Amino acid sequence: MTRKYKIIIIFSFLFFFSNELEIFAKSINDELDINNKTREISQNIRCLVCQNQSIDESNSELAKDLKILIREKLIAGISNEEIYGYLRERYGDYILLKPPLNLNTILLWFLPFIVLIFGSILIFKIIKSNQK
Amino acid sequence: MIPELGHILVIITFVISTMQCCYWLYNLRYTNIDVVRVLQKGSLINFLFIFLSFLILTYSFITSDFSLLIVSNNSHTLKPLIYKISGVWGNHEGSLLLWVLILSAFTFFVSLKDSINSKLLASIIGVQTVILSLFLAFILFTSNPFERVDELPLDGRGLNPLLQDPGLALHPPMLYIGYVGLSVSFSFAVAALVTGEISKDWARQMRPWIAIAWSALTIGIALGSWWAYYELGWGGWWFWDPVENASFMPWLIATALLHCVRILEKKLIFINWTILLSILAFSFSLLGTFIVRSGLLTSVHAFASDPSRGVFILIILGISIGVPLILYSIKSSSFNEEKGNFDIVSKESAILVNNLFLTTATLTVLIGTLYPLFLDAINGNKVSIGPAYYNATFAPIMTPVVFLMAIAPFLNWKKYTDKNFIKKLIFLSAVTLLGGTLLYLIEEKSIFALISGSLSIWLFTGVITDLISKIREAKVKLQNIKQLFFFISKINIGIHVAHIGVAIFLAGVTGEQFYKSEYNVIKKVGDIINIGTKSLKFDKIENIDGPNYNSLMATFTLYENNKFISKLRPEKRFYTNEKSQTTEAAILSDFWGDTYLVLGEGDKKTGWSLRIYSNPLVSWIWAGAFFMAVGGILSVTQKSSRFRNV
Repeated sequence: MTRKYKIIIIFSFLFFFSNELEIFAKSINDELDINNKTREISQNIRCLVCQNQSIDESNSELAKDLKILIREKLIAGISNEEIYGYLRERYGDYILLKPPLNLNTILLWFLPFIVLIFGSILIFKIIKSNQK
Repeated sequence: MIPELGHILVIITFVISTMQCCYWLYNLRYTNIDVVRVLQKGSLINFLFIFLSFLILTYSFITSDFSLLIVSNNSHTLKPLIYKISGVWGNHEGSLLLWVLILSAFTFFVSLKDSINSKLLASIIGVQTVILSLFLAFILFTSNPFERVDELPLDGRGLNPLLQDPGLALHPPMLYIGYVGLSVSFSFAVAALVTGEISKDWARQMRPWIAIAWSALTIGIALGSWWAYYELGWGGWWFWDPVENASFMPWLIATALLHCVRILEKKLIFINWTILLSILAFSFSLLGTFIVRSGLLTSVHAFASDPSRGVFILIILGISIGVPLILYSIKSSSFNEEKGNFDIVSKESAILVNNLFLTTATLTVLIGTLYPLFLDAINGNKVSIGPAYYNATFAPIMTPVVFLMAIAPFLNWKKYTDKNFIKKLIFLSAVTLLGGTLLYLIEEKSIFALISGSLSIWLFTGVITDLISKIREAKVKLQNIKQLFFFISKINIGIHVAHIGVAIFLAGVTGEQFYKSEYNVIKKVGDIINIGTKSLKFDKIENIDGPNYNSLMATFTLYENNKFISKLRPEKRFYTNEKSQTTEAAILSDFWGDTYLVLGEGDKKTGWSLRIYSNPLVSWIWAGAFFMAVGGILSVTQKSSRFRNV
């Protein structure tokens, strides 16, 4: 078989199966995407039976189950927010390693910046008053 | 019989130190050099006795004297000698004795400083001795390391396998030197409040102690982080774990103090603030010591917790933090401050801004650590605070600190006189812009990667620029070693070294946080894993017996561009005696980064699950910390007041 024929065969093969190849490539991409998303969410979910670990780091049974659950939900096309919401509903705010902003955590999120603003004003005044 | 001697020594020291406290308080009004002499002798005796008693405890561990409760609970005859010794502080009671030993050592060394005026010195020794007595009481009444067992066990229960590591031999002692070292500046502050004696000399005498403690704390924290990195097998180096935070808070405050005290060396301003920082730094150390012990917060360090000691802990914290703070609120207004007379753009202002950001950062860490506890106590709601919180709060607060760190050293004390200041700024911006663009072109990552990387370049350039301009100003020719040393003695090289350390650290953080990659695969023996230009060949997996564990060890060969690089041997160790398991990651470090390989679950048929991390620049994190610590030590040798502009 000459080289010419080889090329023709490959191209016709590609032509006939291009659709299938595309689907195959897409499925690999999706798979990677799902894996990355699962890990991203897992890093923000506390392992409830461990000492201060995320389920991403943990090897406990519960963590494994939760990772599978998150994965399945992602495959089913459920959004990140809905998954967080689902886990929060079942296990409470405690499971989220990034605490949501609500009445309970308002001080947690804003106190550092409030202190920084008032501190800045104070420092500015001190510097002013110490000028020549 | 020998352990009882150790116990008796602790009792005697407790009695002597308590008497010393009374003696100090009784003579408070009429302190003279004779009172100091008595207190000095007391400190020497305390130090010697605690040292002896610590040696006795160590001896009991080395000889595996299982009639002692903590030895039988934490040691084992088969354990290697180094872990028998480090096992002394691998438990609550022993680590407290180490704490007290370091405290008595610091007390003794500071008591020798006759150059401090005797009124002040007497009170410094006095305050140190009060803390010593409190801790000795804590040891004697709740945590006696020399307690015997009723029935002699055949062998000890062994030490938590995670702690059987060279890291443990060094991490706690360094951390404790840091924690306890801050007691000296604390005592300086309380002594100033008690006696009303404050001067520039007070600040000058105090700064070396802060620098030593700060350097030790830096090394201690870095060792802990390094140990977590290679031992826990998660590939991370900092987890914002409550106990890590507990050691980080005193570090942050001590950093603020280390800068702030330099203002006071020049002029009697910000006295109150300096005193408050000194008190807070040690208070956070105490909090740190006890957060590990109390079991209040869940963390990987929970091995040492026992809630029953809580009340005693609260009493100690109450006395050692509460009394100074009350004193502070009464006395702090009585100090006469000079007028500052400094420009808006001056070293003084820069240090104040540094202090603002560092204390706010400390507050952020404090809130993040204790918030879940308080919320639970107030309304029973539980929240978890993970790295995402600190990335959103701590990181933006520290960004200006690093930004200013590069340019603040250009500034002079008092006056804005440097005509080259703007020139330097332009140069710095140009280099950073260039570096940032390069970083962007090499590999496009998130905006945070770009900020963090550029900041590191910014700081690096800043320090080098400052050093070069100092060389010019000093007008020394650097042609031979002698001139180099002369130059180094003229400038405060410690600052440059420490700041370069921060730049190196930040480069490491940037690499680890934003440029790391991770691969999870399941492979059988004989398989090859390809990662970029590297490939890993799974050679074999076998059982190997260690001194007190059985290991499942896999062997891999790492090739880069088909050239042999190294063998990698990740392990899973089963400690039969302690009935637990550890993962030993195989780590190949070089200048540009680590290859980090963890062996997971699996068997011959299905293959073994493997985690492979590529961590660029990760060792720069600890190298940076090392530079910071060296800078701290170097700054001790420099008397900054000798030269006006350094």
